[in-house]
Amino acid sequence: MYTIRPQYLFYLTLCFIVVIITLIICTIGMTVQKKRRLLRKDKIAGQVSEWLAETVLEDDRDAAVKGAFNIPGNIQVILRKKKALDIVLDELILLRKSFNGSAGYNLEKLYRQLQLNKLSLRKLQSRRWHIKIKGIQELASMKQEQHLNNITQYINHSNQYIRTEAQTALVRYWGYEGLQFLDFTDYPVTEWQQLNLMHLLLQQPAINDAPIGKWLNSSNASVVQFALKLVAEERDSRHYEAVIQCLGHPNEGVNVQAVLCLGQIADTSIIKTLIVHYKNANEMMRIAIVNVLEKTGTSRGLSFIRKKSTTDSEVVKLACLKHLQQHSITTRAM
Amino acid sequence: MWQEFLYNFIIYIIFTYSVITLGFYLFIGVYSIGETRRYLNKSSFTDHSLLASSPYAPSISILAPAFNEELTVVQNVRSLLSIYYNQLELIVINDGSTDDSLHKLIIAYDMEPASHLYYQHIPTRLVKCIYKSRNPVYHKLILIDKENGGKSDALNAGINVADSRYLVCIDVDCILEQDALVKLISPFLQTGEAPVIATGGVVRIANSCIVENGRLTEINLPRKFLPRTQALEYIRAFLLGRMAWSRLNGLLLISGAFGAFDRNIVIKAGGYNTKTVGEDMELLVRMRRYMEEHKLPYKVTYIPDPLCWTEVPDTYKILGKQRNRWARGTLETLKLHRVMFFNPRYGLLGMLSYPYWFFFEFLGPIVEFLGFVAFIIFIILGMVDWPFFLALLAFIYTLGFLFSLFAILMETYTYNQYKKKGDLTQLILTAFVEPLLFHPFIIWSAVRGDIDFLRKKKSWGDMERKGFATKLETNS
Amino acid sequence: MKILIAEDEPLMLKTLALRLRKDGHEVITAADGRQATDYFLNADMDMVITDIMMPFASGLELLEIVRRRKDKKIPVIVLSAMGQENVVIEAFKLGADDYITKPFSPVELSMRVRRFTSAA
Repeated sequence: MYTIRPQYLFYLTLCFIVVIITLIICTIGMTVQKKRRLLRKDKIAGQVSEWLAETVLEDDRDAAVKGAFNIPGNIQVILRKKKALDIVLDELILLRKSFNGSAGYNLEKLYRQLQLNKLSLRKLQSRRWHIKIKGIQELASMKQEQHLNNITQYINHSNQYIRTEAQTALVRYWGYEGLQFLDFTDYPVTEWQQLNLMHLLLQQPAINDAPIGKWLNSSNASVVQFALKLVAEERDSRHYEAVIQCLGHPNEGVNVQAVLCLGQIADTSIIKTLIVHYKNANEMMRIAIVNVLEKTGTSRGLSFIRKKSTTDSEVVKLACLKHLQQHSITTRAM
Repeated sequence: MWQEFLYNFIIYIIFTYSVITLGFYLFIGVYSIGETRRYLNKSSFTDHSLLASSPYAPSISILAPAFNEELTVVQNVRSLLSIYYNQLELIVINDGSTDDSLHKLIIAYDMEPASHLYYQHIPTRLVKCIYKSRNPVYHKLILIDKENGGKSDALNAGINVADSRYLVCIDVDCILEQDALVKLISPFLQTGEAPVIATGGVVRIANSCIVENGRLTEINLPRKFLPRTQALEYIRAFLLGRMAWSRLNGLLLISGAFGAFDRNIVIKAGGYNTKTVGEDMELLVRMRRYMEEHKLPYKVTYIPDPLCWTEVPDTYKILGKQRNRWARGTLETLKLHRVMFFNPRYGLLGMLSYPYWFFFEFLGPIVEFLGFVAFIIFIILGMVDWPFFLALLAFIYTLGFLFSLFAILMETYTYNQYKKKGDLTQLILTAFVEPLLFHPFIIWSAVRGDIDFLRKKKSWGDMERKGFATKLETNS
Repeated sequence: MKILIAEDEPLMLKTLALRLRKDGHEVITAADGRQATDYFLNADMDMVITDIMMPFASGLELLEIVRRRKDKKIPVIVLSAMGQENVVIEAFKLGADDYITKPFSPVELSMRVRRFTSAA
């Protein structure tokens, strides 16, 4: 006698076989669908590419009609299908990343003419976060300023990705002015986001009255870090005092960033301050200080490094010795 | 009477164990979907290329230990050098090769001895020389020549010499995609509060794929049976298993062929263990243990992108050796860290991850093997209840087959690498035949590995004594 | 001039090719590094315009191959999404003649190509 009757196992096995058949059908179905989708995309992209290329290159000055672009009959037929519009939208977005100037302007104009902004808006309103993000990115890259309010509502969203994309979109539109969210965000600004934003900001002209001072005093350590990077990049020495304050910040990352920043904005007078802060600094900060001192190229800086190369912890010693080695190579070369 | 009791007892144990195992695998499979979907959705809008050139991107050192690879090492290094990432060091460690590897590299890349200062955080065998290239095109390449000490030792030497924030440890003959580094490093930068200390990536099978100039130009399902079954196995393990564990933040193993680590934490944890053959798993467990013991928040993540391709054994002999080594490595790691077993101090690691590895990855092959032995005995004793047995076999077989098909479905849903005509049929057939032609061999190799582990334990003593004796002689 | 353009985005490739054809050049297009290398080695190009990030072989590898030809000095313009200093320096170290960062205007590319035609 056994409590597990073979019949039960047999029935379960049959169930499994049913599931197996379902899985196989699903897999085949998925393969077919993916292939079909790819073929369709290639077909449509091929059909419209000639016309898109011509339109993008159209020179403003030549066009007799400064209004709408001419859309040939056959293209209009293709564009009646939503799938085709989606594909064209993707192509335009991709191209907008690479082209600016008159080509960029043409892309935006075509985007509006084909009413693709409606598609992007619909994406923005989607409940699925990755679709929403696509909407944000599309509206931002096509400079659809009139939809800014729709995007602004997400800059402090709890979903990390929505939040960062919305922030990025604002900075793309407004440059430094788009950084307002730094005033109040209590979420950390990730390293990736900081990297992204710096990249965008470098393409924009700096403005004089960005509230960097406020950000340097933020309670959000990542905001302070980012502000320090901004100060360093712009070589803005107006915030010198605030940056020195950051040397004593409780967050280690901020300390290190402050040292690096001083390396960019300060003159040799910084040496004394750095040496004073060295005492209480942790290893990472000490290495940063040593690096900056080396950059100053002063004899005082170098003698400090020389001293630390024999007395400090191994990791710091190594950094010092490397600098001394480099220095002796360069002086020998001179 | 007692025979029947014993019989039932053993049958129930095997049955329960199989059901729990397969049930757990299915749970893992379904649970992984969420994580994989999240990653795919994230990829749909993220542009990683910025990382390759931004001055704010973190510095990375690729560590590639090499031993006797003279035929391919120059080509492998060339393909690694072509990866586009600006703040990159490529550190190739020649682990005392007895062939021409070192010389070939020196010639090919115009290397000369360089005075490169570093601190030996982790003790290693003697580092004989560090080479750098005279040619500025190869300025990212650093070549370490050292005494033979094994893979772990070579990696440790690399860790010492590296001067960057993150380490990417690979096998030198792995083929990496162009954007492998930017994708692998992203999780470290996109984390909110808890820092990521390690990220693993999927390792795909390069057998039968076409490689030109160190780049993969055509993906093919492996033609031979053994690599093909391993392809299926890797899909199950990587796409389902590891993604699920990553979601739970309970991942215990990042493949030694492809993984990224925070260099500081690696050093604090003590570097690779040179006394184990499962150094990849052992390091990650130790790193996690370090973070748990110091009560520091952290994450270990995994990305499903196919970024790394490697050749797998295509003969039973070599495959057997590999699985034997894996079994020993697992046992060594489990033994070293047995303090975590069901220890709440180690959180999820101790309460779920470690027990899982113990009961399923380690005990699994043993239970199956003993079950098979028991079955043979029962046949001899004429005690087998055939209807029940056949029903049980069909049950377990179909459940296993189902799981493999689920893995195939997930692979199609995600990266769909095997798109050619007939690939799908081949995979399904492989999944069908695997339990007969592949699985038993794997079980047997694992059991042999366990036996070897026990045996070596005893014989270490002998080896040690011999070692000391020789030392005394040379001293006097 | 006979110009080779290597770029992995099909529409961008088409647009640039069209722009240069309108200017009167003969344009050969390649969608990846391997194709580009093949075409370059099998035909006599007067100029090469290449993206950096491409499948199978990067623009910098292509640049190296172009520079190996000693008989003819073929101007190379490198296009890339990355515009940071270090990438520019690396490209010029390898022998690039000019460098354009995305986003850029096709008209600008056209002008820069013209500079090399007038020089030739």
